[in-house]
Amino acid sequence: MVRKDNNMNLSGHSLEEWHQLVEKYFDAETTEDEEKILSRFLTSRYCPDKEFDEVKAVMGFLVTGKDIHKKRSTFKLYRKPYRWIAAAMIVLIAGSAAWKITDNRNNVCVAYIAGNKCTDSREVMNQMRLSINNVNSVEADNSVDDQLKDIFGTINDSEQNN
Amino acid sequence: MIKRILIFLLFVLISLWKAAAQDGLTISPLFDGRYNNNSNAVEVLVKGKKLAKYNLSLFRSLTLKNSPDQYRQIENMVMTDGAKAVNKETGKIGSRLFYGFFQLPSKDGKNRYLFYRNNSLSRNKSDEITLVYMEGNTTIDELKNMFK
Repeated sequence: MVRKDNNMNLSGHSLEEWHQLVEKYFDAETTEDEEKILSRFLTSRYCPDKEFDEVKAVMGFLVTGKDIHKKRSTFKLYRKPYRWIAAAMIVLIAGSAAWKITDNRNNVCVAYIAGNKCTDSREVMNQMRLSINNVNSVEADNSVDDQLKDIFGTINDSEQNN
Repeated sequence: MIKRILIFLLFVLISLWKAAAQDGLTISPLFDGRYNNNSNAVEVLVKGKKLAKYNLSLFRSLTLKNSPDQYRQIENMVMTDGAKAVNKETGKIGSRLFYGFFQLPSKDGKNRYLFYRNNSLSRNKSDEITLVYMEGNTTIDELKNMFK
């Protein structure tokens, strides 16, 4: 009925022939080429609007459905990589948090001075040196203060004896 | 994938728990925070970068003033740990420990030191004791010279 000629003039058929083709389309008996020819006719300026509204709607719906299906298929293909990226990001965040916690645990500089917390690193380091000096008996015993105490202690003892 | 993430997080938690584990010393409880709010105490904790130049990884100290009732207890704790020392230098006044430099058995490849001094036993000194615990790769002689 319809010539398989891609170069055929769309207006080269009578309206009756187009109606027959539409019926054939609805009966699902058209070939792919015939469907293409029909769709080209339906979108051309030779197609009367009202008479072919129904087939236009059906074909338009099917084309839209095909597009959506194509998009979903494409999305499925890329869905797995997104999951991997998300998983990698979670691992990265968890790793960073763990590193931060470990770093905080490994780098501490704090002192509690008479019940007050001190995080000033200079003051803490001073307290640290002070502690070491306190326990370093040889140095502490030979400090200027101790020597003066010994000298004055000896003088006082001598005066008391006299 | 979720299983792998959970295993990773579990591994991290175990590592943190292991790092926080007690070092098995008798003096450890003295540094558990009980003196943080004590007006007679000075407690110092330094770890990590700040100690790099001293070749140390951990520094803890406790200085306690005017608390004679606790001096004996702390001295006993020091003596208990000091008994395990591989190298030590001590001084006594009477039967009491006046000062002590103890090198404890190394742990995880790090040298451990415990320094102690009880000035309350000396007539010319203030009524205080000082306890210092250190870990690192430094030697005891280096430590003595380091803070001069």
